[in-house]
Amino acid sequence: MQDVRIRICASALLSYAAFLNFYGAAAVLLWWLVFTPRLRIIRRVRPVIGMLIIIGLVSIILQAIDGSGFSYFVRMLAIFLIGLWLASDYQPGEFLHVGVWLGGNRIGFEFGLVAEMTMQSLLTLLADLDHIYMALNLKGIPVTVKNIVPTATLLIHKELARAKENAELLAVRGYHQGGTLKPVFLSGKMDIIAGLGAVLVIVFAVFPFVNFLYFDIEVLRGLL
Amino acid sequence: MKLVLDHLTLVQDNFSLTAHGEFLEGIHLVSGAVGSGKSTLALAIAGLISFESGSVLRDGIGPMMLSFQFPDYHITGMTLEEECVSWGCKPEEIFSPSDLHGKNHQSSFSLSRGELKQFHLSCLLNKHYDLLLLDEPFSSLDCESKKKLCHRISYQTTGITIIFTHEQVILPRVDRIWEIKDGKLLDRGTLPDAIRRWCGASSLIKKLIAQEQIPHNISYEDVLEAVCRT
Repeated sequence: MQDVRIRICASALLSYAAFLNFYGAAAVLLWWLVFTPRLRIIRRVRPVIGMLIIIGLVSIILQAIDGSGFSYFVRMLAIFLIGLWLASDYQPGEFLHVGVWLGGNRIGFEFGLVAEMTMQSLLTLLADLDHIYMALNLKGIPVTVKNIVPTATLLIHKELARAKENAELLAVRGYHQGGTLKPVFLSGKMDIIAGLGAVLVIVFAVFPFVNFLYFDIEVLRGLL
Repeated sequence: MKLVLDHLTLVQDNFSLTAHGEFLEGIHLVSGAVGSGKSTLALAIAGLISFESGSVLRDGIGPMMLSFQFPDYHITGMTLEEECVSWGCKPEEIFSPSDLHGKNHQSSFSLSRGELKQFHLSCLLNKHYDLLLLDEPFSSLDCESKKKLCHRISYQTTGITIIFTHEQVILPRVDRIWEIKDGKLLDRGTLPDAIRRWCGASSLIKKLIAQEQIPHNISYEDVLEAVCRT
């Protein structure tokens, strides 16, 4: 999806729909299958598998406690996949354009810049993690809970140092508040169709008039 | 003992690099401009990234180590002593002869980048590796530290040491020069003949070549000797 405004709105709506109930989450998964490049968006397999394992473990525990594990798994999976899609389609600079488009060259620019710097930090953090794994591998040190402490300290230390450097750079360049930017967005027919699809999903999840479409989860289980 | 790069092809986004050649025991310099692919090649040789085609053969090579350009990635100990031990070094061998004497229990994150680089290289060069890959070992170091490092590297009498750098002035004596140019790893040969074919040589070395005063090697001392030669 090219238009970042539609992408952000669709992600917010879809996440809310998935959070609301099982049926909303199922509709979100259907939307994900139709409107995204699906598994091709996955660039790093290891963190995705890690997240799925965590979600799976929590689901098993919830299923054992009160039987809500299956619903939890589907809802969290839907939210996770939407988040993954939002992050994978990110192009550097686009959050700054959205910020200015939404809130103008002062407040909007500020929020956009913060969002942009956060995204850049996340990407750098992932690159840092790759290097740390490589360095551990070279030293022959296994990735264990004990080794997480120095690793996490290193990541926090690097992140703080980078934040300080960025702040100094902004100050040196005379940044005070806001800036001048003419927001530019690319958009296509499919963006609008996918956006409307997201609206339909939230309608399906929120409004009770579609209840007649619901069928009991127990019936579904029985069918399976 | 030898390292063989058999028609290795590395592709990343808009960048590609091909490498073919044999690295025998000794000190090798892989020279190239910033962004030419030196670090990527070092990672591929260390087996840390996958490549498009070809192969890396480490024939008879046992222990191997790659030193990253940014030494903080290597930190696994909360204190300098823990960090030292994580490299398999005895703290007294690292701390006593250096400026870090008495700083054993200082946090690993308290050093400046240059100090950390020195400490990291001290730990690294204290151990023996059959294959030692040094990615930009001279970055963040001042001239004196660079000279000391060159001296330390020249002690590497066994094994294969490969220095990936864009440094042109303060370098150790090497046995062979390689160069990355236009996406290809080129073998410039052994010293001193390699100097004539080395496109990335400093302007001073190029001037000396033009005057037919070829240095015996590329170290600072060798270049100085060529300059003073009458």
